[in-house]
Amino acid sequence: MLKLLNVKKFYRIAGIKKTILEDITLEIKHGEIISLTGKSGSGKTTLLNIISGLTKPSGGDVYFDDKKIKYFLDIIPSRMRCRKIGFIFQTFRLLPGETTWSNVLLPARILGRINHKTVEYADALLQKLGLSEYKFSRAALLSGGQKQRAALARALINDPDIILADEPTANLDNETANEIHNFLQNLAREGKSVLVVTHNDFMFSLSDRIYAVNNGLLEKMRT
Amino acid sequence: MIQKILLIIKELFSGIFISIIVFTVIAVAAFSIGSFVRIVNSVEKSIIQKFESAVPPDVIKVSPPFTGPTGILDFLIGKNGTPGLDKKSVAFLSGLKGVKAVYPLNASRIPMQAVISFFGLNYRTDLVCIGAPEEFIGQDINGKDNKKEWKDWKPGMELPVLIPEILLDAYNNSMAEPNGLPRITKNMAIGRDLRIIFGKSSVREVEGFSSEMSRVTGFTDKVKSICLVIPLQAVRFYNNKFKGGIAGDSYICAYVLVSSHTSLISVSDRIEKSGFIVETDKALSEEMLSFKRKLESIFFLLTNIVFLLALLSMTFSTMIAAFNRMDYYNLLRILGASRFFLTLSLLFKYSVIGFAGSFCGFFIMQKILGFYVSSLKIQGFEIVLLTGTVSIWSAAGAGALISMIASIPALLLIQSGKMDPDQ
Repeated sequence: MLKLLNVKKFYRIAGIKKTILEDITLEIKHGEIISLTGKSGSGKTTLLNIISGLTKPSGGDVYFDDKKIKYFLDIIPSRMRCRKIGFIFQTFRLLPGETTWSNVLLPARILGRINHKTVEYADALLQKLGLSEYKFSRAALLSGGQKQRAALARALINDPDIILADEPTANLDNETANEIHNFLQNLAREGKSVLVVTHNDFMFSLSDRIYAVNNGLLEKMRT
Repeated sequence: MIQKILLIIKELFSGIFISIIVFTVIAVAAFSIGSFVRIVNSVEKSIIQKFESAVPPDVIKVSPPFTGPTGILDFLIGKNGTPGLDKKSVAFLSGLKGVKAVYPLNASRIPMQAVISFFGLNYRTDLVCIGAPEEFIGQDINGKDNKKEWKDWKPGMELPVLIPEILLDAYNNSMAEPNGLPRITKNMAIGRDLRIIFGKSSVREVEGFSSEMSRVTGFTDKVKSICLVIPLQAVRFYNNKFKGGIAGDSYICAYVLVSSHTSLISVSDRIEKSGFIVETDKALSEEMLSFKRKLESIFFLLTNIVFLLALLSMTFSTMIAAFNRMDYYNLLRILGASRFFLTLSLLFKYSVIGFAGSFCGFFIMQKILGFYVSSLKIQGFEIVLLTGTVSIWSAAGAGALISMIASIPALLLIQSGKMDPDQ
């Protein structure tokens, strides 16, 4: 479903070339959970940015459903991001002044498609994630776990093919973290791919493959 | 599509506290710029008008170029010169930009004498008469009836006369004492009767000469010649009567009234270039123009300082507000909003705030400026508030444009949305 071929990324800082990613090749299939780990600043988030079309690679290609992502026209990767990718962040990144409902529907609004099916789906997601009673609560008032579950609902509202999660449980207690991990595993069982940046052993145990990003290279740790 | 439009409209009301601050700053800036520019322009105009009315521009005396005999041959063949100021010339002068009015003067071209009685003695002298329209010397004529008489003079009526002050001075300083005559004051002369004999002088007498009763109706400094000033139509009448229309409609000179000191310089230069002889006080106008330019420079500088300060406050407030929403825009970008959509959203928000802020600021300024200016009254110096040349819609449009431009730095940042905003 997602394929990276010889992807490179470097920056020039004060004229000096700094390599972030070097010759990354990776394939993610439907229903797979891939964990990425590595030291801080090793390029994990940059890799997620490239996959999502937010950052253009310095070299190599990214294919989504065998279609090469073209970066020159912003609207194409933006549309792909909106339809096919769901995002979860370490800091949740909800709009604190908005309700849970409004936050969840945000990607659907961006896509410009809210109909009764979307509303029903959003309701079902909130129920599944145990947030129905917080539907009209402001996001700022939710607990950490509730916020991440709301973020999960937001990530799933457009029914994406892949979930990109950047250390989704780093700010949560173990019990809540495990709930999130289990939820991600269930998503994989439903056929969605999950690419997660994590340092959590439980998440590793749920993963199909684990990679470490080290000195710009992708090293396979175990299958 | 509707959802996207709703998202843009929703953004307009997001971060409402900061938006209100930006709105207020823009409104205050628009108020400040609008009121300052109008007050400064009004004060500047009032000062200049005050000076121009206190020291009006001089009149321009235009005479035809000399085309008389240049040698004995010209004289022998009868080339005595042709007057160069005709109706066409007057029309040309009237058509010049900055000319308020043109008053052509006609001179008598026949032998003339005046007889005036003082202390029972008759004094007789040869003289020249110049005909002037009432519009030109009207202010110098004493009494409404005399003015009307001047304007409506017809043959057979008593002839109203004005004496040039230069003639009075010349008589008192050079003629009175050597000839054993009394010095004359203005009060002595006004209302006094005299007889003017048309067609006869001490040198020559024309058949059918006539003596007309006339009366001194005032003194004038507008005609600077040794002559008597009488109604224009009287000169025409007597010239035609004794010269059989040969004198025609040619004028000895014309006095040109200009609207301002600036016009005096440009009009006199233009007339000179056309070959006429120009007499006027240019130095005074040049001095006035120099003063006007200095005043304009000072006000221009002050206006620009206020404009710059207001512009900076508008720009910075908009910029800060836009940066304050960067996290939101960054999130939208990650969740799939295109750069175009975010740019549209940001530009729409700040153009609306800029438009509304400028509109309100300008509107309030228009409502309260009159009251503010009336409290600025200085004794003896009234400021007349100028009508604004900038419409409220233009001001609001400018406010929208400035806000949109100020949001450009934030727009540039939007171009690079990242998963990790700290990265």
